[in-house]
Amino acid sequence: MEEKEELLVEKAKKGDVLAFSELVRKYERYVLNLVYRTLGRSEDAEDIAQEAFVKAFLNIKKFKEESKFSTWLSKIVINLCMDKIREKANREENLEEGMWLTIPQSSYYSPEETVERLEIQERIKKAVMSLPEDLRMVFVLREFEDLSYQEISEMLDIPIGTVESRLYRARMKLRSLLKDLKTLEEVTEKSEM
Amino acid sequence: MRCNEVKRLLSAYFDRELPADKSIEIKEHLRSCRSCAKELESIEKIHRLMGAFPILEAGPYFESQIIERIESEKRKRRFSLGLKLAIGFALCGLMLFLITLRYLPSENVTLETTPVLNTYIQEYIETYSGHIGRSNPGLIVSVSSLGETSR
Repeated sequence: MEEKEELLVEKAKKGDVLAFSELVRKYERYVLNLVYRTLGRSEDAEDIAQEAFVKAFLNIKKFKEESKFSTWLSKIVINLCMDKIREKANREENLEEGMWLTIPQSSYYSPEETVERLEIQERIKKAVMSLPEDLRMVFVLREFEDLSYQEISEMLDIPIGTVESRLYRARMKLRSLLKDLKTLEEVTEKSEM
Repeated sequence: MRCNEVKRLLSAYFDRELPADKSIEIKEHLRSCRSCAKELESIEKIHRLMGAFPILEAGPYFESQIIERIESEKRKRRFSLGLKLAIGFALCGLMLFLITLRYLPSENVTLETTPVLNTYIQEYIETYSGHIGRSNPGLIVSVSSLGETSR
């Protein structure tokens, strides 16, 4: 943990909301997208991400510096997402005002290329969301959050062998769903030719 | 190593989560097995595809809304704590009151009745004692005692 972050956590533990808001600024994108990738809904991702931050602040005294702050925060987010999954079945995506979806790698694309890229994004998202929750959770934590098997195992309270087999199954399922899909690099290469 | 076993371990191999000896074995196998190498390529492709997963950006009020929610939660907690304290104090007061009553000297407690009530009770006893006595003789004693006391 960086010294600055350590200091912010210490201040937040004493009830300093402003210090905590700096931590929010640092992790808002990370938390928001972890929620989005886990639940696949953009309409309430912001609300759930905020709820996770509020929980983190109210429980920050329980955070022991044995782990990274980001790992501790991820655990809160994952638990909250699991609660939400239990609470209600997935609904159709409906973009809410004030939320933006961005295409990774910002640069200028032709209208055709933009449409193609958006289609690719949509198919990828649908494929990931079609995974059963237990597989998706492990896949998201590994693929997007880059956590080790050990960290995932601790976070979800499952054996490392289960992490490994769920990842394998998730990848096999995605492979069959996305085998004909071009990567963004291939789309760019084609348009440059 | 057989292809089936290699294929099962490729996902962990790609994540660099296998022990060194297993990784070396798989690496060797991949050099000579086109089918397993293709499988690894498909895992790599999935990884590259995930780079295109849509990214959400927080709205402009994201941070300030969190602060508001924290402040509101703190207020709720303060109110709840205040309420608990108030209930605690009230219960303590009530207990203190009951304890004081329990230890008051008993001769100070007297039963006073008015002459009108005395007459009414006397009439009531005279009217009903015979009827009650027939169905439950034990009750006469208690009703009579009440008459005595009230007098």
